[in-house]
Amino acid sequence: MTLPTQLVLHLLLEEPTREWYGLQLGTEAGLPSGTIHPILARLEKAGWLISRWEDISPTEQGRPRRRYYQINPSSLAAVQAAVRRADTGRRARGLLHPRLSGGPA
Amino acid sequence: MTVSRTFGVSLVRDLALALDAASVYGSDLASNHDSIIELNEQLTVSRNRVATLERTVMHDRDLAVSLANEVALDLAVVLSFATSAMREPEALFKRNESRPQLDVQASIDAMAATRDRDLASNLSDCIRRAQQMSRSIPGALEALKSDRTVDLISPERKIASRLPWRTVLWAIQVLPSKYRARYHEEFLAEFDELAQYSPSRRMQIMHALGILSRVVSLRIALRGHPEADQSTTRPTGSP
Repeated sequence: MTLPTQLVLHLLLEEPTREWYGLQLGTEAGLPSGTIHPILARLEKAGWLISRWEDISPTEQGRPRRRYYQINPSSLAAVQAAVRRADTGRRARGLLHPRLSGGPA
Repeated sequence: MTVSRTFGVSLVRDLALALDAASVYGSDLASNHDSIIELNEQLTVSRNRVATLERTVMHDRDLAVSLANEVALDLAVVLSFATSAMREPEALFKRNESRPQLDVQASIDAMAATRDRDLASNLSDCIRRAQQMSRSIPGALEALKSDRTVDLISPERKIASRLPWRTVLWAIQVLPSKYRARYHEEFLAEFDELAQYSPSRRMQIMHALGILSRVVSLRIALRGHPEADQSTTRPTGSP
């Protein structure tokens, strides 16, 4: 699992029921523009994430709909286990990231 | 007896005069107290007006800096286009030495037309933003004359710049056709949000370049992806 993917999963696992949109996730995880979408697509393909369109009328709101992502509740345990494994491996290799090690990104 | 009465009358008269004087002093004191309160209120109002004026001037300065930045950015983009337009015909001539002259000329004309269209579009964006900013200036001037504050930010929703968005539209073509509509809308929402919170077009260009640089990764990630419509996706199994 790549470091950006771990950053995204850590963020999502902080509040598993919370819905995020791509730009918000990328910004919060500190990822460069454009990096987030391949990660989300892979996680969605794996069934770890589910996504839905924002429930608004673009014509009434005057803005396009966002695509919201959240942890798939049925895959939550698998995601947590995978992140734990990745954390253990990373610690064993001595690779620390400020956000992943509990500090500010 | 007479002396005592005269003394008594004199005493009462002096007492009445003293009471009158005390009443005048009391009245003056009350008046002074009211004046002090009024002066204090006026000082508070003046202080508030100075604070409001200071905020308005700061806002005007921010507006001027923002306008200057936008103009500088637009100028940079125009210069970039001009430089590019000057270089590309030479490169095209070199690439097409063996081709008939007419084909080369037609390509140059088409390229120039595209560049002209982009330039016109960018200038149009610049003028539109300048118009939005200029609409808030009378309000700011009114605020300088009075003690009220005005919102210098236009209530209109800002529109994403066209150049970065066109770059993303081109990038979307790299994706499998069934995902284009989805990512078109998703990226459009991102650019809309960037336009609201990051008025600098540089941010939008950087975002577009970021998307462009990762579009092949996204295409690869979408292979075998379960979702192609507008509804909620369903998991396909364990990773």
